Amino acid sequence: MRNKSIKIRKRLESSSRVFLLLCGAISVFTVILITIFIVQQGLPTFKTVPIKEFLFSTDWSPSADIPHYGVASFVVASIEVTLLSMIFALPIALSSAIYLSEFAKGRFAKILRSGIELLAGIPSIIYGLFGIAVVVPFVRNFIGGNGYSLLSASIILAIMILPTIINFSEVSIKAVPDELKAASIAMGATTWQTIYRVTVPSALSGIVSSIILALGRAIGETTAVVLVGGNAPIFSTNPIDMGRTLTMNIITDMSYAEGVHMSALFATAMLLFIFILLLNLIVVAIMRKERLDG
Amino acid sequence: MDRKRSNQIALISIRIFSAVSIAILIVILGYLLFRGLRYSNRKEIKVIPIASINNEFNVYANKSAKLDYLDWFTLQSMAMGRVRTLRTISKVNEKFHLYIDPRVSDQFYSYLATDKLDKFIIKDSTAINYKEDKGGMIVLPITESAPSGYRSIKIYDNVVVVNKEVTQLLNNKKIGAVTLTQIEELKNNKIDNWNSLNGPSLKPDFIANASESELANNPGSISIVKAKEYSMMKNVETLDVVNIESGWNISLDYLLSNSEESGSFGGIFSIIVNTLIMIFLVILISTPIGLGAAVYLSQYAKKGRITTIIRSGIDLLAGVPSIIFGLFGMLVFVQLFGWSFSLISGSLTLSLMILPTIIRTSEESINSVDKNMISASRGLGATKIETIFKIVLPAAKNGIVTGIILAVGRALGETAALVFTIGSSTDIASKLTSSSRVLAQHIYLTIIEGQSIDHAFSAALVLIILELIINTTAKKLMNKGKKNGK
Repeated sequence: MRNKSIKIRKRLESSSRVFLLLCGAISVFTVILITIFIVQQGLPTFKTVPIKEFLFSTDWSPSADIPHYGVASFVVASIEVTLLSMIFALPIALSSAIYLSEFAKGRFAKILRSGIELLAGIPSIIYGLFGIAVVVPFVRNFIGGNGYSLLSASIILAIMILPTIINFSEVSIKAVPDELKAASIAMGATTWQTIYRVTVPSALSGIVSSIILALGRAIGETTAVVLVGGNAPIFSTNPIDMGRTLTMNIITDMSYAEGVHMSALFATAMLLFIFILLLNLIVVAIMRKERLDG
Repeated sequence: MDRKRSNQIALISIRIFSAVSIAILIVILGYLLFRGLRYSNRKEIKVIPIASINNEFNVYANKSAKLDYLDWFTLQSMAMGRVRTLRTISKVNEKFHLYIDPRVSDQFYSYLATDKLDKFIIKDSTAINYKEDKGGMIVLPITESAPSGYRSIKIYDNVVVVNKEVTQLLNNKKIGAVTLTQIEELKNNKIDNWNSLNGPSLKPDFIANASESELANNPGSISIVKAKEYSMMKNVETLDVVNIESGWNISLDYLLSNSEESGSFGGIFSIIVNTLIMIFLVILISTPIGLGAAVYLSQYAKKGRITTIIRSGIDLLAGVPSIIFGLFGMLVFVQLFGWSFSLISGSLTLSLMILPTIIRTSEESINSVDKNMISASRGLGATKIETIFKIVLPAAKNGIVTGIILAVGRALGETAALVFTIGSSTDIASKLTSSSRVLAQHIYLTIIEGQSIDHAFSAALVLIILELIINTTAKKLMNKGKKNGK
């Protein structure tokens, strides 16, 4: 009797181990399946559209008599929007991260910290709505154009990626050993000199990783940018013009696309996926280097 | 000295920049609250928005018709039977009916300068139960008081009429709508020239109770006449008047009534219910898997290839943009499994999307469980899985729940992953495979379909409040967990 219950317990033990492993493996399967499905749907594009035209042509006219599927303008717009948003976000984000990790005492730090948590919890659709109602008219009245523009999209994205940069950078700035800073202060450096000569350089790899993670979030963002970006499939590098990014292209055309048009959209998604993968690989490489150096 | 100054400047700018992020948050939340609670629209109407007094009859409308005022021209088309629904007039999806007490029918039709239409007249006011009619409007003699459930309607019937030259298009400029203050100024001859209002270079000449010929013969002349008189004038023009309409954007009624016609009418009750069902499903699906993975990684995984693969799989999954999850869900759940655009397709897609969040936070809190407790349990003869269920998970409960709540917060605000998976029906989902619409996506569709942005703002306020509740709950639990840990 007792033997039997031990047997059952052992069997339970080994089967639960398998079950738990499966749970862990689901994430891996999902990533693999996502890749397979997107590639399987996207690759047929290149039977009819030369890959060179797809990547380097700025002519996207799927409903024309002779349809063209070139996504170059979307790639440029995606990169432009992402970089611009980084330029806007970086000074605010880094200052906040330095403040939180170096001077965080008292009420203001507490408010700042919960504020950033709240900012991270606001859904992207609400950022988009705010963009339509506030950022678009602001750009139209004070900068130019009709307001629906890559610039508006960048401003909204900049706000959205603030929490990502702040949270990750704060962790790595905090991880800088106090001895380093103390030594710098003891040598007669001011607080600011210590920050930008000692603290920030020591935490640089963590800060760069946070920036790249934020870039990934920005390039993959869809609903917020589609509402404010103008969504016109034209090529323009002027940020006050309307533009369309990779994600905007997918969400706009997918509802009615068929045949080659449909697979061209999946090819667009492939491209986006490759961008994200590259960014992720960079982060992994930086982390590994960090570990080796440490 | 110089170093000190640059140090000061740098530290102050760090403070200022950090304050900017708080300022941004306050602006966003404040603006959402402001727009979500109140609406205020600038409209240009044909009459002066000041109620005029009528000594013969009063007009009342059912409260559900949500009518506040009517201009003479609209009232006229209503009385002539040209208006059959209130959709365009008060944004309420009700059929419109007009009841007229026979004692005042002659006065009413003569006021509107139309022929009598017998079908509207109540011969015996008890015969038709107009009180039940949600789109009902009744005209009663001034001696009668308001019927229960009805409220008095203001009638605007003063029109600003001007000489035709005033409204001419000159150099691509044309006089626009005027405000009440501008009308006052025109009345008191305080405006010297029409060109200050974008009009032609003429001197405004206000004539009280002007006749048609007076207006037609004096360039620059302006007057205020009753709409009935204006309807008989031919050689004059009118000026539109600016009217600011404002009111509550969100109400109990809005929260508790179902959505009609893709959200153009009615409230968001059905959408909130769908959102809650979806969140329930997402928790049901993703918690066991996420928790299982977290337990595996923290308790079973040894350093090696499989663990590395699983960890990088989770990292990659966390980086996949939601639109790509949406495409994947569409290909697999909607098309391959044939579940069409449905609650279950959307919930499964979101469950996969939030897995990394649940795994990471759960693993962290499982790892922080006291190792001695685990060893003690094992030492007493419990198997690993028994230890996990009886010791580890209860001890890590707070952290796990926090992780789930944070993940739910992310699912609640997601749109791009749902556009191609969950459908858009505004009815309450009756089964797993029925198309349904959730809050975040409702906001998106409202904007994309070009409906009034006020609808989007009221739904957004509800969504942001839900998110705030979720965030504070998670934070409280996290703090509680930390305290217990100490």
